[in-house]
Amino acid sequence: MGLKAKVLLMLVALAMPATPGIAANRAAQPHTSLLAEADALVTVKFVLELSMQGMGSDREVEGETDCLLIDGDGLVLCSNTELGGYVGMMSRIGGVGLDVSVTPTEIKVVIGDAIDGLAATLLVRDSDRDLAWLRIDEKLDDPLPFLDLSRGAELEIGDTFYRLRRMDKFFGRVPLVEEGLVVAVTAKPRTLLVPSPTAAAGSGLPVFTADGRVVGVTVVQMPSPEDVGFDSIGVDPLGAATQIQDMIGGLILPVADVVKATKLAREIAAEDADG
Amino acid sequence: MIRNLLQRSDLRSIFPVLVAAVAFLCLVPSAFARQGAAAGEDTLRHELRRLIGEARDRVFPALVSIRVVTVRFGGGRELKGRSVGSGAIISSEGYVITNAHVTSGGKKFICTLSDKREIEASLVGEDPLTDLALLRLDLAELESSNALTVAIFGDSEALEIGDYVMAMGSPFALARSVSLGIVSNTERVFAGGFGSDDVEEMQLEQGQRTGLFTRWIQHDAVISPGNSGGPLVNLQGEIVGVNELGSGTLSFAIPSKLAAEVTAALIAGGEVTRSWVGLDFKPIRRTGLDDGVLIDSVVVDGPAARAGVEAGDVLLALDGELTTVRFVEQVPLLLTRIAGRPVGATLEMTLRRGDEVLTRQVKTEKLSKDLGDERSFSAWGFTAREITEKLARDWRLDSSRGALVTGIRRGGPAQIAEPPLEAGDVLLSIDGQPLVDLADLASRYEDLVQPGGEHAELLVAFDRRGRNQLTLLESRIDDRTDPPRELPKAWIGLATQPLLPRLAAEIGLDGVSGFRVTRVYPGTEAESAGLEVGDVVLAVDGEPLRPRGLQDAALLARRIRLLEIGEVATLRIARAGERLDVPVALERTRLSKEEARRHDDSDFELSVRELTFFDRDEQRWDSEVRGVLIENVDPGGWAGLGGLRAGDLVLEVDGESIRGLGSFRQVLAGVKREQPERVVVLILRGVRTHFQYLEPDWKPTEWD
Repeated sequence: MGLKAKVLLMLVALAMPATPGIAANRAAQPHTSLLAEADALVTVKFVLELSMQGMGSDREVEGETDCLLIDGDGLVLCSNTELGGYVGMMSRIGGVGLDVSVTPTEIKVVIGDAIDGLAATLLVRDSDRDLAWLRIDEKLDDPLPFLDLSRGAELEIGDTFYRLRRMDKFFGRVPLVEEGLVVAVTAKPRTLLVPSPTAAAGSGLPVFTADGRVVGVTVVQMPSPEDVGFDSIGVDPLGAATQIQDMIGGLILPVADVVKATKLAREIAAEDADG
Repeated sequence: MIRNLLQRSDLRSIFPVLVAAVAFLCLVPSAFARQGAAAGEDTLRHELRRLIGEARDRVFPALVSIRVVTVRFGGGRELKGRSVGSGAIISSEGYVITNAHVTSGGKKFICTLSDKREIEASLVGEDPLTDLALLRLDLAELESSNALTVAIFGDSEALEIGDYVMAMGSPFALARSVSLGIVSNTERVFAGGFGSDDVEEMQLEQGQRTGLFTRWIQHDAVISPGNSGGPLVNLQGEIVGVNELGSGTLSFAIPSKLAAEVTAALIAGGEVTRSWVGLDFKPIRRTGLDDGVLIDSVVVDGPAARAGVEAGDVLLALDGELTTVRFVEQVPLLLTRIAGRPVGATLEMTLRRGDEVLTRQVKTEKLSKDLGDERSFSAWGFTAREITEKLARDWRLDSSRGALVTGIRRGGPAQIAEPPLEAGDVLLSIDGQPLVDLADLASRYEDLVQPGGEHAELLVAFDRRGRNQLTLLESRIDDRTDPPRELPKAWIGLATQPLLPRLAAEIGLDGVSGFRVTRVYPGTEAESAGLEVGDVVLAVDGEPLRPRGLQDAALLARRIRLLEIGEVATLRIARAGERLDVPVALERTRLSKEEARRHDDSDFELSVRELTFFDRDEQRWDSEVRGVLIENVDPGGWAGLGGLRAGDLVLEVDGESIRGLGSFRQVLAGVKREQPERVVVLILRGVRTHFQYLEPDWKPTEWD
């Protein structure tokens, strides 16, 4: 059988409808039940204001990302990287520390596939953990659906996880559940679960166990300002690609760490609110 | 007798005599001639030097160097900048002739006179089609005792190839300079391509033609950027041209005849009025005909088109006068002839169409400007331009109604509108009210966008390539948002390097790895705890630190960040062969540069940020050094013109100490209330202090 024929056969196999038996089996999977949590998965739209010494302060970039409602009053958890944190991180790679600040402005939280978003304010961010917390500005009549982080769980190497995300607006922001395997646990630079390469995804996404308990949130881990010796990126293109893949490939920050940071973020926000 | 002698004498014996005689006959006159020539050369050189000196002295005192604060547009925003050029004072009223590309986009003009005095000037008018402009010096700034020296126009028509000329100006903005050359060509016209019969269409900027009526004086007196607008001077000390462009020894000047005509028109009315019939011409030489000029194209609905003139016709005569154009050099003459007729005059055109000879009466119209005004609508996030008739034709628009969007600011309201506006859109109406032109749009903007006012969404109708679309546009006045705060974490005031085993062995610490202290930040708990440079941190709270390479450079800092602020951590250290346990109270992470609060000042056009602990550390500034760090300066703004730069630390403003962002805001507010003529800013740049003098123009400016 020629290569072309094999490829065609594979494509046909991929395209074949599932048998009733398989369909029944899939119905038993946690995908469907986890989709119920999708109401807490919101889209955050923003405009980044970049300021770089000597280069001006008004270069703006529009963007949007998936974030999580984590209480009924409109506290939203995002990936700091997705909200512009990548600019500061990238400026440090190779020890090049540019004097740059990135400020998300015009923040809007879009619930589900709503057309308009609710204005929000960035309260505080944690570049180490790759987290950022927003608060919806509007006084809400009814509590919003949110993800209860207190229902946490721990996973080990070899365990299956389920991750929730939304497709692009082009596809109606339809929520979907993807599954993956924990293939490693690293203690450096902090405790993180490493997903199988095929399960790599973006950051700021919730990760669950099969029974719907929260395992953590996907994050990016890039060198911090102290990593002055971090200079391997760019030396070896293939190695660099693997390194970057490891950094941005949806590492899972355990929920306990998320909860701890969120508690501190609430305190800081309250301090600020009190002036 | 010689013959006899030759016959009688040994030739060899007489040959030296003959040679000597011939040499004498040849060399003596030559030596006399050389002596005479040298004397002649000396005289010539002396005479030339005298002529040059006299000519120089007639024009040099009238030479000015021009600095221009410009406003241009790009990326949907205003971009302020600076440019330089040259010019010459041509009247005792203070008129200065220069190039339009020097004054283009200019909002402020500062002229440096020959005696180094600086005087502001205002723009009298520009004529982009000839690249000429006229400024007028603010004579009120001059002391009456110092009268202006004025240069006069000479006759450019009298110039011949080979004549000496001098180019005067400020090359690369250097002080007055002169170069000498000869005229290389007196009727240079740029033809497009190899042997082409088409006159090259030159543009000052996209959409703005220039050089239509010009036959340049080509010369080899070197000119460089900064010479633009400077005079080309003959040996009589008269301006015979206005230098415009050049490369190496190929320099081109606008003839003084044209410059004098344009100048007179600009003085009289601020503009040059010309007639237009809507025709393009091409030399006849390749058509097989001997007479006339080929009509290459006819502007649709233009005066000639309406009179029945067609592309392909051959214009034989204009008002009965023959109009043969064989070469490209003759095209500007014909265009000048038509442009010089009064607006509204009727031209009788005698045309050949095939074998027929026709007559058409063409009524001229005023030649309108190619490019209209452009301005920024910052709260809407775009720039827009006036739609002139030419622009409407070039863009194939139905009319010149509305305003053309020329740029969109990234992330601005126009870009985040749904659908977003794009460059090239023609704005037709706002909230259902049709837009007449750019001025109308500007007027609506002033009404709708008020600082601190409520900004409702606007319904905007626009045309995009023939499709009438609608969008909602929300006004937004850009206020700087402070960068988000970082979640505070535990921190210890040490800078360290990972100490790997080989390095450790070299300093007598065999088998040890950890973090060697490279700096103990002054005033921190680490200093209070007695930590010293050279200490090696081996463990934190009993947990060993084992860096495995430079990738672990941040391991200690990360380990500390996992602890609690205020907690006391015990550092196990190696110092001088001993092991010590040092308790250190953990502090809160210091403000990073990314988090530092910023302040934009729209009057002085600069942005500053507060000083951080890490700035002090990098710059070796102790805690006594206070101020704000300049992050960005608009080069054309008051701060930029006053010499402030990104990276400067502002220590004082008008004698008031700047302690931080708050006092900077407060002091600046006071300065704005007082509106002094000069604001003195004391800065620290590197290791030196500098006093910079800012001279704000408190009058409202056009771009405010």
